Amino acid sequence: MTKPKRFLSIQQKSSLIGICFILPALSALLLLVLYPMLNGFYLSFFNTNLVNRNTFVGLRYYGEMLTKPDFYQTIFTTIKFTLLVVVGHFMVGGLFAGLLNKPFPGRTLYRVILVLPWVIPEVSVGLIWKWIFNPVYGLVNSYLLKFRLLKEPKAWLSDPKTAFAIVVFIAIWKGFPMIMLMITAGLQTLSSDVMEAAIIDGSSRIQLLRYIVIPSLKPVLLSSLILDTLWWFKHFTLVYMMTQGGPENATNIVSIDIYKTAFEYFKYGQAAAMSAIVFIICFVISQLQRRALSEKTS
Amino acid sequence: MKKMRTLAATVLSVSMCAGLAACGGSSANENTTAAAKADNTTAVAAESPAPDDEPIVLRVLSAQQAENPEGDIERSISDAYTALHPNVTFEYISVKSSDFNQKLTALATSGDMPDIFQNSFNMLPSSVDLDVCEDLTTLFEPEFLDKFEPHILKEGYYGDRLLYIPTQSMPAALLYRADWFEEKGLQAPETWDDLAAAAEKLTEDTDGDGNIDRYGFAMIGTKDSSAGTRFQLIMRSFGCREFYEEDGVWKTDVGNDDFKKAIQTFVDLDLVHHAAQPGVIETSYSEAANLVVANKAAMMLTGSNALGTIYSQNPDLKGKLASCAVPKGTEHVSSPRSLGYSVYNKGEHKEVCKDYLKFCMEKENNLKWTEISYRIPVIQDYYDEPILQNEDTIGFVDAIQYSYEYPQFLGLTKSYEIIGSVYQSLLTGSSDIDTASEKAKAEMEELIKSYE
Repeated sequence: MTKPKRFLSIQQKSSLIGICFILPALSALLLLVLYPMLNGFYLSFFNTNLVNRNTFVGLRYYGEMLTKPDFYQTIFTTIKFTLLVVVGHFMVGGLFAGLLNKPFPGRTLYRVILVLPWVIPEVSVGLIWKWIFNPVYGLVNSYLLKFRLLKEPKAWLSDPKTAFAIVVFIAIWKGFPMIMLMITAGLQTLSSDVMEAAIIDGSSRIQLLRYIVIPSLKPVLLSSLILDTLWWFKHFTLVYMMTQGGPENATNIVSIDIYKTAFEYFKYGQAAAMSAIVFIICFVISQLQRRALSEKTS
Repeated sequence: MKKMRTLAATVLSVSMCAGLAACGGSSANENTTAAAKADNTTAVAAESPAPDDEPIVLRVLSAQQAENPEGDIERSISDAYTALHPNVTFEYISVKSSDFNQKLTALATSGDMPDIFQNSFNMLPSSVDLDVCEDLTTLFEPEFLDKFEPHILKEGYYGDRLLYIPTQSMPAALLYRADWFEEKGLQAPETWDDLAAAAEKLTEDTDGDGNIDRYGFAMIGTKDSSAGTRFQLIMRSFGCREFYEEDGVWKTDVGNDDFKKAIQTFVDLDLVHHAAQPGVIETSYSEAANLVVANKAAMMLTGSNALGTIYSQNPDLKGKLASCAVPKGTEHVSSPRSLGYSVYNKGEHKEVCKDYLKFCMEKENNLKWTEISYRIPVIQDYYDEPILQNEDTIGFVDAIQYSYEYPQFLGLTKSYEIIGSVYQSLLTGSSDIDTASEKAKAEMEELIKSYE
C-alpha cells in the first residue's frame, strides 16, 4: 500500500509560512509606499484635478519644467540649502558628539538640552525664530539696538542674503541633534582596546580620528548622511513657516514649489512631475554618496 | 550584500520621496455636536422638510471650526437648529483654512463629500472645477434671495448658477486710528496721496528714544493671498484689473501704466514716505493686525473681521478705530469677501440643508457673526442695527457699494505671487518698475494660457 502523496512538500510548506510572515509588511509597503509613488508618476502625465478632469498630456510637464530657468534656479537653491545644512549638521553634531563622549558632571543634562531642538515641532520652531527675527518686536533687533550695534531696525528676513543665511542657520540648529545622537551612539561602540593600542603606538589625536574613529563610524556616518541629505533636500515646514520661499525666491526650495503648485495652483499633474524629478535627484544623490564612501573604505 | 545595500538605499529613497507625491493631509478633526438644549429665544425656522422621526446627520466641512470664536458661533447656530429639530444633528469636519482646498479635494476624490461645505469668494473657482456644488437657484425661492445685499450675493454666483449662499461678509476698507487722526487734525484719506501724507505725519518716535516706534501704514508685502487680495484693491483703485474676461477669454491689465502707478504708489509708502514698518515684505495679515493691536500702526487695509481680531487682543482700542473706503487712485473700490455654504450636488438631504441655511439667515443667527467677530451680515434689512452704525464698522458697510466683480479664475493665487514679485523686487531694489512689470506681464499671459 503506497502512502498518500502530500499536497505540499515540507520545503514548500516552509516557504509558504515564510511568505505568510512577510505578507503583512509587504502589503503595507506596496500599499503605502509603492502605490503612492507609482500613482504620483502616473499623475505626472495628466492635467488633472483628481476628481473629474483627467486629460492626458504625456511628457508636457516634464518638458515645461526642464526648459524653465526658474526650475533650475529652484533646484540650485535646494542643493545649496541642503549642502550647507548637512555640512553644518555634521560639523556641529560631530563636535558635540565628541564632547559628550567624554565623561563630565552633568553630561546627561547637556545631552537632554542639546536634543531639545530636534524634539520641538518644526512649526513651533519656525514661528519662534520668525518672532526672534521680527524687525519690530524681535529679540535680535531689540538687543542690537539696545547695545547700539544697529542704528535702526533691520528686516533680517526681507533681505535675500540674510534670509537665506538665517534659514540655513535655523535648519542646522533644528537638525544637528539627530547627527549628534547617531555619532554618539557610534562612538560608544568603538573598542577601547583599539584606541588604547593606537595611543601606545604613538598615534596623534588627528591620526586617531582619521585612521580609527572615522573608519569605524563609517556605517553610521553613511546612513546618517543619506538620511539627512534626503530629509533636508525635500524639507518644507521650517522654510515655509519662516519665509514662504521669499524674499524674491531667495529661499524658494523645491518642496515649496511643489506644495504651491499642487495645493495653491491646483496643478496636481505638474506637481507630480516635479516630485518625480525630485525623486530621481534624491536617488542619484543617495547612490553617489553611497558609492563615494564605499570607494573610500575600500 | 552589495545588492541588499542597493535595494535598501532604493527603498529608503523611494519612501522619503513618496511624501512629496502623496496628497497633503490636513489635521482635520471630526466632531459631532451634542443635542442642544432648547433655546426659547431662537426664532422658529420654517417647517422642517424632514419627518421628525427620521434621524438625519448633516455633515459640514468648515474652516470656521478651527477658529476661535468663529467655531463656537457656527456651533451655537447648528445647536439651536437641533433644538428645534431634534432629529437633525450636525457632524463637523474641522479643517484649517489653509488646508481647506486639499481637504475638499480629498473628500471629493474619496467620494466622502459632506452635505454642506464652506465656500467663499476665493475658493469658488476650485469648487467649480471639482463640480461638487448644487445650483442653489433651483433650491431657494427668488423671494428669499431678494433679501440679500446684491453685491454680496453676486459673489456666490458662477455664471448664472448660485453655488454658495453667503452667510457673512468681510468687506475691504481702510481701518484707521481715529484718535490719532484727530490729534493730528487729519481727515480720513480720500486718495492715496492723502493716505501717504497722513501716514508720513503719523510715523514718529513717540517716546523720544531716538527710534521710530509708530508707523503710519501697516503695509502687507508678502507675496501670498493675504497680501495679494489687498494689493488687488490698490490695483483696482487705479483701474487695473489683474484678470478680466472678454468674449470668454481671460485677459490681464498687469504691466500697463495703471499697474505701474499702483505699484509705485504702494512701494513709495515705504521707499519715499518712510511711513511703513520695517520688514514690509515679511509682513502678512497677522503681523499687520498685531501692529495695530500693539499701538504701533495707524492704518491698515483690511476686511471688517480685523476688528474682531484686534478687539479680542486689545479691548482698549474700542472707540479709537474708524473705517473708510479704500482711497482712490481713480475710484473707490471694495470686495465683499463673503463666506458662506455650498450644498453638495449629489447629497441626500438637500431640503434639510436648505432649511438649515435659511435658519442661518434669520436675524438673530446672522447677527451673531457681527456681534462677536465683526463680520457684516448679508441680509439688507439688518443693516440698520446699531453695531453697524458705529464709526469703526460703518466704513466697511458703506464700502460694499464700491464692490468690483471678483475674477473667478482658477489661477488667481498664482497671480498674487507674480504681482508680489514685482513689489518685492522694487522694495529690495533688485529691479526697476519697467523691467519688473514687463516680466510680470509675460508671466500673467503665460499663466492664462496654462489654465486654458
